[in-house]
Amino acid sequence: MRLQTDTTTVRDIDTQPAAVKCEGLVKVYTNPFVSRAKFVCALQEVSLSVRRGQIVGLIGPNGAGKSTLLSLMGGFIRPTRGRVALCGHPPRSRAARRSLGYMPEHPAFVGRYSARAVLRYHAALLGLSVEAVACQVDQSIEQLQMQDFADRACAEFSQGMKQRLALAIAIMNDPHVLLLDEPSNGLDPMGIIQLRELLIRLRHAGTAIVVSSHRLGELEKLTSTYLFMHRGRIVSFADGTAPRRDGRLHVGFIPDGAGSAGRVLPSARVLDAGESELVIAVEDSEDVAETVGTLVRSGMRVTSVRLERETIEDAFVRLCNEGA
Amino acid sequence: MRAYELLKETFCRKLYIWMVHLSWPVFYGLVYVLFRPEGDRFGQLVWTCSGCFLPLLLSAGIIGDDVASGRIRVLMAKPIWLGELYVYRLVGLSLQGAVHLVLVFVLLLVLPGLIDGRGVENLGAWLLAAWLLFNVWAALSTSVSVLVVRGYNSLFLFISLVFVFLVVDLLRLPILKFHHAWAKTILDVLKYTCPPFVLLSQFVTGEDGALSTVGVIAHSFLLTLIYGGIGLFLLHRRQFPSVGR
Repeated sequence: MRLQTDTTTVRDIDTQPAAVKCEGLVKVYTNPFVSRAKFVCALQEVSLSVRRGQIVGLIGPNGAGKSTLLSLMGGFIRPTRGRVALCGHPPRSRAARRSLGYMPEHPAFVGRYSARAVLRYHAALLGLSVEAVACQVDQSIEQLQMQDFADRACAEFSQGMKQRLALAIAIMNDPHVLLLDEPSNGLDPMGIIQLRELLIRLRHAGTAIVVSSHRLGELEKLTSTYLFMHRGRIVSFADGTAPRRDGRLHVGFIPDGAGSAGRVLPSARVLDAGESELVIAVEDSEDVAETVGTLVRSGMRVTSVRLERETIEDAFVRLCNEGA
Repeated sequence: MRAYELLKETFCRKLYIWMVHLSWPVFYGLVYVLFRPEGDRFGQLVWTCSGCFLPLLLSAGIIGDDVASGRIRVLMAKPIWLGELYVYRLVGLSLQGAVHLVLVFVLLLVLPGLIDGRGVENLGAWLLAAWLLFNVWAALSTSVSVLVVRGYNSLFLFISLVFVFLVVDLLRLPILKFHHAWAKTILDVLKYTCPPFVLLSQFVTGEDGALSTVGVIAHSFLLTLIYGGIGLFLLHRRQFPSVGR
């Protein structure tokens, strides 16, 4: 057993097979009523692997192929070429669907059913007994805090209520693979926090989670592993897609002795030297403490330290520009 | 539990389904009270309405609604054989048809007895024929619903029905029927491959004997199975891209 230090994994998962494995996926949407030239190639040669206990943020501009990739992973559509495996099984097989949880972007329910009835319906589809269904329904209501609207008809639900219910359905069978399409749509701030905590708990339990979301700030709090897509291709994946770890360290100080203190650092690292502030290039978080320590030891009277790093939003814009 | 929930859903999915089940027997009762139909005419009316139009109403969007809303994708993520969805929905429709026809049977036993002391002619046979026809239409409509989103499956079938009746009437014109062999061939093909209107009406009137009656019943069940099989095949082949694509 070997513990990984990766921020997205918390236990040994290297020995387990990939929860989601895509190889050379190509998806072309055809239409018998239009010429071949107008067929839409939504995905081009996409290969990736998601381990159990990993959260992958699927990001990219509209039309990048994120929904198509999620659909292929869920087995809702078939690839034109290539193959997908969920826990080693074809995605449309029962074995794969036993391990799968899916939450759509726009959840829809039978309008006349209450949340409780919807949960009962989906629990029954899992093949549970009458007692187990009742138990599962109560547990789901409590877990997603739906007590206030559990007995109201779904037709009256707000978007946030629908999202909670859809999430409860998706995680009902303790899935090994969870596919989420814009999960925080319409959720209030408390709901978003609960969603985040829940996903982190699931990750700790070993669930592989693929989240497609435009809410980059939210994604950033969940994972540092992103899959950036552009025009049907993966522009970058895993660490390459994460916001850069390097950054600019702004160090404020009392001007006395600044000149000498600044000289203890290699000149290439000092990006800007003001009267009361130095801007220093740092490689990662560990480098910050080391740099500040060096400055303090050299006699600099440090008053403030601020690390400026690329956010996922900055990374998104950068990758969009690179992809374009 | 799974079977119960899937069957229940076919009853509960739309409010109008209950309204149809309640209002149609009232409609039959009113027709009887107001017009007092003679002979087989009332049985024929019930057979046509409950055997042909009722399944179209009850099955509108039976799978197409799920496809249109994207709900089918959530159902596909469950560890069930996809065909179960289809089979239970068809069985659910068939049960609804059976319960509906039993209600109509009771009503039409009681009402004429109270009003004029006589019953509706061949009522049991007409209702059995209606249920057989109901099943064929339900299977056909459910299969079309796999391909056609929302409730357009019923509209499509209604328009097709009108079209086929026009074609049949055209082909039955003496000038075609008696002078062109292909006209008769097409009529025969339609008679055996489309929902069996002609065969079932002959079955009620008992024109062709007991053996033929068994054959007609078997033919109706066979058509239901064939249409259902096509629907199952389509459901397994169908892809469900995200809503809006």
